[in-house]
Amino acid sequence: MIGLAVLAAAAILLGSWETSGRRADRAGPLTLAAQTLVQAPADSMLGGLRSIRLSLDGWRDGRSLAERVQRLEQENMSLRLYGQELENLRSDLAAREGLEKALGTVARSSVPAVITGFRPIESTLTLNVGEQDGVKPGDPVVTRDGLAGVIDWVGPRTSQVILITSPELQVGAKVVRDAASFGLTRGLRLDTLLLEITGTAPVDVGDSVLTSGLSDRIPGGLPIGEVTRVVEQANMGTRLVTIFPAFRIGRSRVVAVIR
Amino acid sequence: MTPVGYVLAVLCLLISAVMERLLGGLLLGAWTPDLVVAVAMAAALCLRPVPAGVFGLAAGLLSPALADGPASLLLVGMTVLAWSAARLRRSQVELNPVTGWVVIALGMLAFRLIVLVSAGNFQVLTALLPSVGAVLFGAAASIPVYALLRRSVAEEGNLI
Repeated sequence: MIGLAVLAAAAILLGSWETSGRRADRAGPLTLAAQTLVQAPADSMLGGLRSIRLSLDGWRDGRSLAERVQRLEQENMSLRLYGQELENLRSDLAAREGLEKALGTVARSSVPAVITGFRPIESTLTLNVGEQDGVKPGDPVVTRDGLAGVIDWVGPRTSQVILITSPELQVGAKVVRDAASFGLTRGLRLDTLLLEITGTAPVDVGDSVLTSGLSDRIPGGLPIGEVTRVVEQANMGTRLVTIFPAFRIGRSRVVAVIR
Repeated sequence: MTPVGYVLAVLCLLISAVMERLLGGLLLGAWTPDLVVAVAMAAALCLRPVPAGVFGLAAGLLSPALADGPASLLLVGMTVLAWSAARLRRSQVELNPVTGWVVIALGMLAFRLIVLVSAGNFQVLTALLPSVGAVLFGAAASIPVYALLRRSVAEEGNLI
């Protein structure tokens, strides 16, 4: 018990010293001594733990950032595709408006169609409309630029168009002048048509060539192209005119079939 | 206790002081276990009363609770708790580890009550849950320390 009393007295003395040594901005001397002894290693360990936590946070954030970048890249790709689709739709809309304007002079009904295939060697197109849409062989096909060709073959839901640039297709045409010259065009190459005309009516480079309308299938006044060259064939009494076709593949995928 | 046991006990006390401040730095708040008290009680159960009282006083000096509240009361309280644990140990022919662990837990709870009351916090019931949690945590942490220190006093047959 004496030992306890001595220890308690020592504790009271130390406690009093601690309490009396306290200031508003400073801990007591015993607390300061304990802090000197213990706080530094505790702070070091705490710093280490915080570093580990920061590293773990960085690792976790890095993973989530990578996932976010991947998601953003996918969104970016989707937006790009959406932009392309939007551009296609705008182009289709402009083509339809052009078509409506071009068809304004034609007093017949038409079927809108989309080009789904192109064979340059055969000079043919494939359309997404067919017999079920009222399309028949021989129907003219026009774009906003002018006449593209005529229907050659018809399936239930598709059809094939023979282009005006094909040597196998002849179309009645006229060179627009005060006195028009008439003839039949036939294809030579994808960028050239030939028109043989008789008569003496003047024809010059740059003159417009339209469909003649002298047919029960192809209405008159549809643009065919523009004269690029006129060759006199004196021994035959004719002139051979080369034409740059108004229709160009790739400018639009929307066409109309005139019924 | 052998000299090695004393060295071990002092080392455990210092390590527990560092760990307690570390846990306090991790913002455990009232849930921070009184590891210093736990180690002091475990050591006291292996010492004679006077050395145990000295050890308790040293633990009181290292306890973070010393920075606030009446220092004399805390130091005396810690000294008396350690001395009492050693006296209890002396009065028993055999104190098994489970009983020792219960004594450690009770000592920690008593110290927590002293801290709460001396700090003027009479809402003891409000702080009861974190206090009990901290005591259980500290008591669990004291199990290996107590086992280690019991081994170091095995040579002194009168304490076993």
